[in-house]
Amino acid sequence: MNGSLWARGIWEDNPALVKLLGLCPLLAVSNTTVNALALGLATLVTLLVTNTLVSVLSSQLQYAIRIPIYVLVIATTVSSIELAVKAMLPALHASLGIFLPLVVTNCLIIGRAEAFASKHSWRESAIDAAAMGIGFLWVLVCLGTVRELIGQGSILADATLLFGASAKNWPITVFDNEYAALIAVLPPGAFLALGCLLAIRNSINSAHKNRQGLNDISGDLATFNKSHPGS
Amino acid sequence: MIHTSRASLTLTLACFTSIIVLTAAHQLAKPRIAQSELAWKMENLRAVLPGGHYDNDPLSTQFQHVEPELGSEAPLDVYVVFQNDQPSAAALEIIAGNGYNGDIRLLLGISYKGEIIGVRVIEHRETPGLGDDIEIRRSDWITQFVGRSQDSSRPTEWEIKRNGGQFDGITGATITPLAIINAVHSALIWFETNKDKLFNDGGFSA
Repeated sequence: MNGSLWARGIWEDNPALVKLLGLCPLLAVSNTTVNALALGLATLVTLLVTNTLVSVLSSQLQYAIRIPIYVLVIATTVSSIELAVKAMLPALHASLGIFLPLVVTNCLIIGRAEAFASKHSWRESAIDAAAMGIGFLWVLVCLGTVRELIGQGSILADATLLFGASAKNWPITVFDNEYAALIAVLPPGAFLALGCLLAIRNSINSAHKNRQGLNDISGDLATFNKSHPGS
Repeated sequence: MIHTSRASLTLTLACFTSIIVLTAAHQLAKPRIAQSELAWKMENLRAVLPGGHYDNDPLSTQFQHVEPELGSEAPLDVYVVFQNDQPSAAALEIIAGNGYNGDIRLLLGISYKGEIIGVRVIEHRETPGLGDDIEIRRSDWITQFVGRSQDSSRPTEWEIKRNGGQFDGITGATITPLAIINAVHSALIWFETNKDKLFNDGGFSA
């Protein structure tokens, strides 16, 4: 059960690639790796806290008021995280802007609360949150890295925002800004990059399915040949 | 009936809990937030009003005023500094409202004579990788304003070079530099006509 929870969050039911949840922050903030990583981590932490809390609380809640309570839990968690980021990493807070408080409205979070955490134990809910959060995070970071590389010609620009002064030498300039394709960092680039990522995922999945299908057919043939030796 | 009252009790309890949690978080974070905001402010202030120009603490002669000509209907920060009680320089918060993506908030340091000491971008939402070359940590574009005054360039020369002006542009971004150039220029004009009022009866003495 736990193993399949991980697989579902990270690949099979990936919130960003399969369920297409939380696309607004996903597309808006994935213009650099650092921004993407920061927002992905914030979403992951929020999801962990809210899923666990909701799972613990849900047995006490009346059906009619469960949604307002979920919203309250989510809003409180996100506001606390925002305060923490603002206090500890003010430059990152400025760079993420409105998208940090907007984690509240990420439908992935309330979706998991209602669809999973309210019906499962807190352990399973925490694992589900971690898996879904990581699934969201890796897609976000992939998009961020690709868009930054194509649109700015760099990798890990502004790493100091997230990792402090020790990350000063992390950014790599791959090619000059002038040769970069601006569209990648603009909103249309986000849609294009996500579209490509979806296409890659689908082609991997269908290749996998084809292989399985072929195995099944050859298996069937073998049994058929065995049972009909004459044909 | 019992159902309803139990539900409202639960909701009230939940609200109170989150109020307590958030108040605690806010109290914990407040000093750090104030500290980092002040540090950011001081860093920019030091950049546009380097030491040596004055002998008072700019934060002690800070006031706010509403000046539509500086780009905003909302109150903006003004700092005036003195040397031996003589007006020395001022730092104005100004807003370039016609950037590529929303307002660009700037801090402009001007000597009493009207010469620019420094400009810094405090806040902006220009395109990453293009328009954000206005930030000092990305390029030194913003330093070309240093030493200029209203007299150093004719009004028509407050333009990027490609349009016949005196200022370097930024590759791939035309709107962003123009917005800043225009905002700085109109702030200089405003300063010239209002500076005596600013140093004599600025809001801080009232």
